Amino acid sequence: MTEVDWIGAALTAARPQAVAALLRYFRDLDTAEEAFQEASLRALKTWPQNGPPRDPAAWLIFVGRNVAIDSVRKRSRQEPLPDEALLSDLEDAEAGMAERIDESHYSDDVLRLLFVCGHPELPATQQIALALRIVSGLSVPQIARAFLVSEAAMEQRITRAKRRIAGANVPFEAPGAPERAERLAAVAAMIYLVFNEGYSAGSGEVSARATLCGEAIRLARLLLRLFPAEPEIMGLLALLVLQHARAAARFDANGSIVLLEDQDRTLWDRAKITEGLALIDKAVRHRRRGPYQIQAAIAALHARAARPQDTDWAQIDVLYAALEEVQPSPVVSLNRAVAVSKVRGAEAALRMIEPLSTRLAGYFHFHGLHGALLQELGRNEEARAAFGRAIALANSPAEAAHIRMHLDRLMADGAASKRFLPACRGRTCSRNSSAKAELPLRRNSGPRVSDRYAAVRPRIITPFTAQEDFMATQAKQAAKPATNTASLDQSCPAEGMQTPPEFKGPHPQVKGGPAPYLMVDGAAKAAEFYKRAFGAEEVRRYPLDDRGRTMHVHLYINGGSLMLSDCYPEHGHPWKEPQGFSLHLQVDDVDKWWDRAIKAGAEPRMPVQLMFWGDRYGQLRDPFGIVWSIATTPNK
Amino acid sequence: MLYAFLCYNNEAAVCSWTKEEDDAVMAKLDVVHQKLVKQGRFGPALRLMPTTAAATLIKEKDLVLDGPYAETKEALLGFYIIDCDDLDHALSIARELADANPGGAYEVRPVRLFLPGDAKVGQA
Repeated sequence: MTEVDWIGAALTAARPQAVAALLRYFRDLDTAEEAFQEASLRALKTWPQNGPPRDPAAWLIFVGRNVAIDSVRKRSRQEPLPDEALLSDLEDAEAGMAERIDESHYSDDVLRLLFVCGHPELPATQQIALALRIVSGLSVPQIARAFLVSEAAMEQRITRAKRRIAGANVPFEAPGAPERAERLAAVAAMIYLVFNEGYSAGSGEVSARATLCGEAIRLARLLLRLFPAEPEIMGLLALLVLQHARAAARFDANGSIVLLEDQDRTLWDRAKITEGLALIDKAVRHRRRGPYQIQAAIAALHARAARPQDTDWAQIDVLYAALEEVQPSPVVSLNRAVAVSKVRGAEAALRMIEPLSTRLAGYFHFHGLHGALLQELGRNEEARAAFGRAIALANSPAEAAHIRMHLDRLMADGAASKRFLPACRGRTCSRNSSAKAELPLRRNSGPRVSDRYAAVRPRIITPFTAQEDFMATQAKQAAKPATNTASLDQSCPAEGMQTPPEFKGPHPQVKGGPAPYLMVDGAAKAAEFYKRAFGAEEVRRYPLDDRGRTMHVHLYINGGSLMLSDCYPEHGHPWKEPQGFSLHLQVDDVDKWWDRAIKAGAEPRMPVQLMFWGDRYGQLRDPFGIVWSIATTPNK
Repeated sequence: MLYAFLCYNNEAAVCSWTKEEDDAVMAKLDVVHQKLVKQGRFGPALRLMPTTAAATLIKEKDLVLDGPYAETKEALLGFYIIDCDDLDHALSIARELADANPGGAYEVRPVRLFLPGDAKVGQA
């Protein structure tokens, strides 16, 4: 029987915090890693004798730091520090450190470490490898096995990633709110990549890659513990545990993919499902929907169905519609098309996906679905061609085998088989119907999850068919930076947000000379403020996204144009402190303008006074950090 | 006399166990459980979900915080096991209890494993 290796578990659990703090201290990944390694070796020596420290992370940080400093001192022939074996639990040392390594420090440290690994400048494969090596502490051979590459190649990949990170200059001071949000988003995407790397494995590689799914869940849990009130992180963890709950049922004895509809639902991990549902419950309360939450809610609806025929397709469709809004992408639309096939038939679905053929030309699932729809319509020749393309693009042998099965069937009976589409009602579900226990799921009292997420406006009901792996791959696509940049006409206002004036009609005239275009944290709020403070008139506003951001607001102030935009850190435009300029208003009555602005909440910087050049002139700063000067030239 | 045994441990470490390790611990615990079951001493036992699944109602402020109850000044005085539809339902029950007994907080955490047991209350 497996013995719990408590020291190993404690070291693994403490690793992210410890390495993160050491990284802040030494500002160098290799030094931090070596220091942690050395501290771990000492832990293996002293913990069995002295018992486990109360706070393993603090112990490892303290010892790791001393070790590294010690080695520097030894080199310079100075006094070594006291041996940590003498310190049973570092109580005194901990007390001294407490202020420096308090919870908030921990949070930002770990976030920084994760951000370094998931740095947007790194290609996805390097992000995953680096995170597994540095944060999870997997060995290079372990990671190499998971990726099916040689150890040397993996070693090289990690080294290359580290070099790139060293050049990226991630700042070490505590991040401000916008940077923190930016880092959280990047880290969430990285964690999802790690999960998908494991999830999209074939059955043969399952054991090597299952580790990756487990690691991703552990990282998401860690992140949520540090940022407990972030609904998207709750959604991320919920999504991962709900997906992972199906792990045991996803492949059959021969290693072939088992579609969601055909899975033996008694094999699903109920503890994970319940946890996922509990997390969604928590997230929903925040009423700040986002892609991870919506995908988790979709996964939850599948999980809640004891039998495939109990699946609430209508709700799933509503959720996909919501996902289309917050994260428009051709892959999401492809999902909707699958749904359409279920409700309105293959013909309608085919019409929907054909426009996507260029953008999804390299996408396995596009061709798989395309083939299935054609096959259903009896267009066998075209179906065969589509399946052929799908096989060529398969990500794993299991995916290829799955398509080949359709092809074989196509060859065998030539008739319209609906096998690819899970819509095959004819298939017996004896395994599933014999499922003895209902899943311990929420009852249908109260509003359903999707009701709370979905936009209020009515939508066409197009239930989604459950195609195993669809969601994961789709999320994988979405997790890649910049693949789902919403074009202006696609972005939709978030529920309950006002979007005056309507974004249509002729372009408003740009007035004045060079028109300032400000990137502020909260463009919509800034616009409202300028209306109150400077009597601004709003002539154009692009709809707000789900985070309440807008790409463009056009105002007229004092006869000239002023344009505003929010910051989009995910597209390389993080918020920056405005500096080195001020906006000048030459007006008729400086005192009237001044008083109105101050009353609206601007902060005086230089009171209105007569200046040497003859103007009455004052300066103030608005709540968005912009400095304004207002002046009137007195008439004699 | 009935005794409650409150289990504390390093959550991150326990969450890091592999399924095999977890199963091994549960199997070893089950040996003890079964012995107590035979003696008619085993009351309900619970394994809670990770603290990341918890929410906390601060009674006086009627404030719901995400995460577990983190203060150390108050002591754990008791707990309820209530079958709730969802978190909102659980919080509404917590508010009802809070009206009856203000002060302190209720942490609401889903249960992962519930062993009903059969010890009779007040037997000893």
